[in-house]
Amino acid sequence: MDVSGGAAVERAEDRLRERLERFIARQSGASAAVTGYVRLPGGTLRDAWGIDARINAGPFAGSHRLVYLQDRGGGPVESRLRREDEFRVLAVVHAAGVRAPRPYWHVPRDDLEGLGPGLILERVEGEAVGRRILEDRAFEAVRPRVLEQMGEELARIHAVPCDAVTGLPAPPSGKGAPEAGLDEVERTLREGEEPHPALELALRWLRPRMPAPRPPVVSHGDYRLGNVVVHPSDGLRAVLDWELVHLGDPGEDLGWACIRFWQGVDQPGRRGLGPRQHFLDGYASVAGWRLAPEMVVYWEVFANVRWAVITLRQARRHLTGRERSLELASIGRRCAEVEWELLRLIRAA
Amino acid sequence: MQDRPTVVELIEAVRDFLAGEVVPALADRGLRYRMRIALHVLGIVAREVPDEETRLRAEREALLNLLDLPRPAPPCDPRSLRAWVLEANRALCERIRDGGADAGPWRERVLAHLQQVVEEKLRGSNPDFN
Repeated sequence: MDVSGGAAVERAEDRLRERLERFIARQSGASAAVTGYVRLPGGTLRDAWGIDARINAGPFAGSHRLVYLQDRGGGPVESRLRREDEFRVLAVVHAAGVRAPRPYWHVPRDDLEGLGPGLILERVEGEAVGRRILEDRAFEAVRPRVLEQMGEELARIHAVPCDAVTGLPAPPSGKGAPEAGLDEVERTLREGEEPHPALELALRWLRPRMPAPRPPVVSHGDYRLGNVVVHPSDGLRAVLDWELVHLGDPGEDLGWACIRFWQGVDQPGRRGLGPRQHFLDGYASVAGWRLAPEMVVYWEVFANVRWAVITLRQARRHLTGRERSLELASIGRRCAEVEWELLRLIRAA
Repeated sequence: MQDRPTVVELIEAVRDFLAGEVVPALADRGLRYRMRIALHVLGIVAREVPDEETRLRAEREALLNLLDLPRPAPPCDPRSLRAWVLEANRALCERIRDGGADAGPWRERVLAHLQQVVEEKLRGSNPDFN
């Protein structure tokens, strides 16, 4: 039985391959051939294709392992960068020595070749699926080191000068990042019509504990297991998914990486890559400072609330018909897991 | 009353078919991934369809106690029961926002109530959660 509609899929893939060849040829100014082509697991917002390309002359002459991230449509999502801005961010952080995929080209919305809008980046060898990094034997040896590397790399991202990329989303003037962050999650929560008492309780817990604003840093915005490429022998090879970059408090990324949902750090009753201390130590070793323990808890609670309201917003994108998707619909039902974790955290604090 | 198979038995038949015959025939990695999600979602449905009304009545009872509300005659159809629970949860949210659960014994009661509600939600949406 063939339920994928084999012939139709092949024709569509041939078309995509031809369009890619024409696009790459035009961008590189030389003839190009796509020699390999494979669909990769994408996210909820875009499809991913692994592409091997050979460029026959010019500055790009040679073989390239690329990934084409193609927007799935459904319109821009609040607080996400436009693709061209994400491309600029990648260019800056890559040039600054951060382990990020080398950006090749931005495919505009009105591309002549008819490719869907998106990005073409270097394809970094390794594994990004969190479950495999956690479970496959191949990563056993490198696992204890990955958290530390994640901490170190985050500190390098936070060291990128804020003015190196212009036009990044930033807290409104007169407001610190912690307050702006809380206001935003609260607003997103209120956009939905369903009541969520556990999230309200967590917001009440956060407000009086809000830290004083500190100088903003370039915050990745989705820094976690699942957005890093890990190689079986070298460990961390690249940080992915730069569409939520903004100017914010360093604690946002530190807390986000630690939440239970991503399974990056060990949790009561559940193993991750290792103890969170490894991550925090890695960060401190490069940054030269560390977050006070009570502030780690604050940002962990904040990150959970933020993730909870994002799950609700994702489900709304499906429910309002803006983007019908099974994946988005099912994410709405994962909010309960985050609420459970929030109740545990604020009881323990 | 409908003939057998029941709704749940039908859903399970669909799940078995998809998991047993369709999944192995899927070559595309993305499709296989989304099929796993679809199977998970059908699992949610199979778990939540039975006894939904019983669970809503239990939550209603808990909210009546927690919010100390007068006890009108209970809504008899599932739709108005659902609407009632939704409204009561809105009232609970408002009291939390107004600081009613910031401290003291009522905070403890709210925490205990929410723990129960969340665990009930998880039994439906993700019983393997730990």
